[in-house]
Amino acid sequence: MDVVGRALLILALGVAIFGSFAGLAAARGVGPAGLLPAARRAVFAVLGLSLGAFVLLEIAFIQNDFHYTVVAGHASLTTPLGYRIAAPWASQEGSLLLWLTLLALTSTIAIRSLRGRMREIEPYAIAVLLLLAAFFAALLVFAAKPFATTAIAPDDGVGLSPLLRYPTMMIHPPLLYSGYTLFAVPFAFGLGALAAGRLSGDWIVHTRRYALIAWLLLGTGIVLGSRWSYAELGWGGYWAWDPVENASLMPWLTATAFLHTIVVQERRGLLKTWNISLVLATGLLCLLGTFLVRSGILSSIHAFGASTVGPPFLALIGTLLALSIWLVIKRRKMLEPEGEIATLSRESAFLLGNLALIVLVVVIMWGTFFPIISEVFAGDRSAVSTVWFSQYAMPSAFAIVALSGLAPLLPWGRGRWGAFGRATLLPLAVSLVVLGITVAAAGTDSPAALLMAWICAFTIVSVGREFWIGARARRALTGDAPLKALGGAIGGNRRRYGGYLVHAGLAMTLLAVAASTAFDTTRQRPLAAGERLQLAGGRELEFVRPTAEIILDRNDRVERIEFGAVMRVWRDGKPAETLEPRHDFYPSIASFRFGPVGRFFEGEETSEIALRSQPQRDLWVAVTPDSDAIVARAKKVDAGFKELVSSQQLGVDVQAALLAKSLQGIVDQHLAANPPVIVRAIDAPGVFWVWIGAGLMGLGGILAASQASVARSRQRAAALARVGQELGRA
Amino acid sequence: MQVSRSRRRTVRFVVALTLAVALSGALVYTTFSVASPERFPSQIATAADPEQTYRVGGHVIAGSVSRKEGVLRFKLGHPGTGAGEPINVVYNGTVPDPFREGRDVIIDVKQGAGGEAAQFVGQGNSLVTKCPSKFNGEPFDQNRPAGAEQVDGPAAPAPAAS
Repeated sequence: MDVVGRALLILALGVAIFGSFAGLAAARGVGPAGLLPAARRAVFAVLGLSLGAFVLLEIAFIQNDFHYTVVAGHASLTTPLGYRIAAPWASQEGSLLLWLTLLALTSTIAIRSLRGRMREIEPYAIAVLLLLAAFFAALLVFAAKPFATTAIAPDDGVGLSPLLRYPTMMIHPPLLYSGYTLFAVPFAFGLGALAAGRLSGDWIVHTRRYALIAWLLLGTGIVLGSRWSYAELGWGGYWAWDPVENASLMPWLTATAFLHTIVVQERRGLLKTWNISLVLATGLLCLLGTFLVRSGILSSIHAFGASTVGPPFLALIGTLLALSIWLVIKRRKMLEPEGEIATLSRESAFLLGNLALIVLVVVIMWGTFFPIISEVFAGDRSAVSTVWFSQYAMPSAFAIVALSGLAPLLPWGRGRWGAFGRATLLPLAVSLVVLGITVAAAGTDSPAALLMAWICAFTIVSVGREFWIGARARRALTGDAPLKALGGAIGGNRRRYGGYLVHAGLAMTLLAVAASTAFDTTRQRPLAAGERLQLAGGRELEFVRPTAEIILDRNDRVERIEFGAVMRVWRDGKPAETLEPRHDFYPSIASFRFGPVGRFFEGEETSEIALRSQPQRDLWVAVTPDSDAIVARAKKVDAGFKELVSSQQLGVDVQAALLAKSLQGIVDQHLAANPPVIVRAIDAPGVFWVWIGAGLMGLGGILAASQASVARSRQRAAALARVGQELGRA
Repeated sequence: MQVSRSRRRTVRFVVALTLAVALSGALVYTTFSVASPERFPSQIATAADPEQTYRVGGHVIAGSVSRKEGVLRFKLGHPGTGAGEPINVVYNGTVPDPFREGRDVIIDVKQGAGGEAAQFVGQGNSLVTKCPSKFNGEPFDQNRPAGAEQVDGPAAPAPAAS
């Protein structure tokens, strides 16, 4: 099977290289006729080949075939099947193969859906898409080999890290990769349009939906990663400004900018250079993100270890960046705007919002790459803190949310100050009331959070006003009931109202982020049984007693040992609820290094937090047992265990029974000792709304993506109007 | 007086460029003044500025980790190997689950005032370890003792505990 897998990848590489050259030759009009259909078929073939290789790798994981080094490194006999299926993308090799497969899939969909349109752009787009595919296939053939095998298969594998055994982590990487690879479509068509000199806007209409779905998937992937971090990792945060997190956020932000100004180009023929630059920047930032994860160039908690794939990535990004800049400069005459933007208009609000987004991207990029920049220019490698990122991102965040509320109040073309002033009255009045209530409730210690609360309230009311106006207009026309009229208004212009929902979701999310970071309280200290920890709002957290349990898998192997605590929440002197956070120990396979008993406490550890998430506030509790004492006890048992085994000829079954008894003894001793635990409790208001806001943004994205284009909906509306006129005459 | 379109565009461009340059200058200046130098443990073990916060990447030396009253203490050596002169770190913040002896970590530290020589205090919740999704797996030791895995057997039929 490994030979077949390697052969499929080599074939995919060969076909992708051929197809890329065939596409380029067809575009330039050289070579025999029929090159374009051949290039098209190469796209489909790469999909078949990469998908075949990916399926083979999945089979190896499902069957726990430890001959494959990648399987032995990321699966084990105790790894549940669902997580074994997801394990390929925990590895460098498997994730690159997934990248290639998803890229081939999106390329195939994009090319098949052309149906004879954009004949001049298509061959260039194929050449770019297959160049990217060839690059990833080459990495899989020469550097990160998913089908590498060992001569002697180990009895068991390392297993998927327990921290990754979380449902959203099964789909978080594929969503990110889907977003990245879908952004390759507008990138390839953008380069193709520039190369072919066909910048009329057809390519934008064709690729807009890909960009929107990519934006949606990448955003969902980012949010799921944050949720995993909050609910599964034992630190209680959802964003750490890590280089790799930043790398996924940057293309999402440039895509957000592009999805706004693309409307300006569609409607008014403006911002053409800006739009094509954003499309190309988004594609390049996706590659940059992948490079950051894999090169290890920056100190990141997410970066893969020592890897050789960094330099090829850098070469690819450099080449494509140079090509992009050269083509934009070459076609600058064709990208001239067809008019001007009035100062008071929706276009100008979009442009200002774009500038705020790009400033944010520049700030994030500067901070992320600062270690390299400082080393090159100052000769001393330095890094900025998460506080720096938060402080410098704040002004852009204010501007973005404010413009999200102001833009819907402005008309296309040229607005009037009087009308604009009247439109802002209601959102301004309501948001000032909200600000007053917030100041009364929370005081003035966090002016930035108060400012954010004010701006977000303005935006939410502004967007709500638009829904109300739309429903009222619809009702006046049709006489429908209010809810039906609202549904009709939304259904009639899903792109517009989807966008508004995204704005409201963004305001909600950033408001929740501001509240949860400005007004949270974190308490951490060791607690003995019966001791209490003071929380905000007159609540207390009592450590009642420790818990401990050995968890077996289906085959009666020890999957993990859980050490937890029963915690009681007291509210106003009365017991309110009981929480049971845990700290789990997973065995290491290296029993020869740690001893047969010790290995059960020397593998991975995970915090299984207790979370009470409510609209007002979240209570997040993690406990850490005295692991030093547990490990010391295990080592002591190990010494006796080894002595017994070496002095007597014990059979494997007897040894296993003795081991089980030893583990149970450690657990029982822990319970009997009733030791203190280190408790970390975070009481944060509003975190609940971070996820609700993100969900609303996702819903808005889906709604907007369900409408093909403004042009098409206008055509449909015009056709309906003609039918109406005809019927009227009849 | 009527201003031509091209002149208006030029003026806008110059204003935007000036603004961009001014903001960029401010960004560059302030970042260089607040950034923490990145160092290896051996670089600050003997010569550290007590006023300076350093971002240190290093290897947690085996046998050096202890936790008392919620305070974590460990020794940090050169990344990957733990070689070179290590530093003693005292840390009171959040300890990530993957933190372990023999792994690489990143932490912001400041030299402790007085007390133990070359002791560094971890700042805030700055301790991070590599995300587990990016480990390349515990390397298999092909030379491990034969039958080493058999001691703990294929199954450990442990009775359930409360």
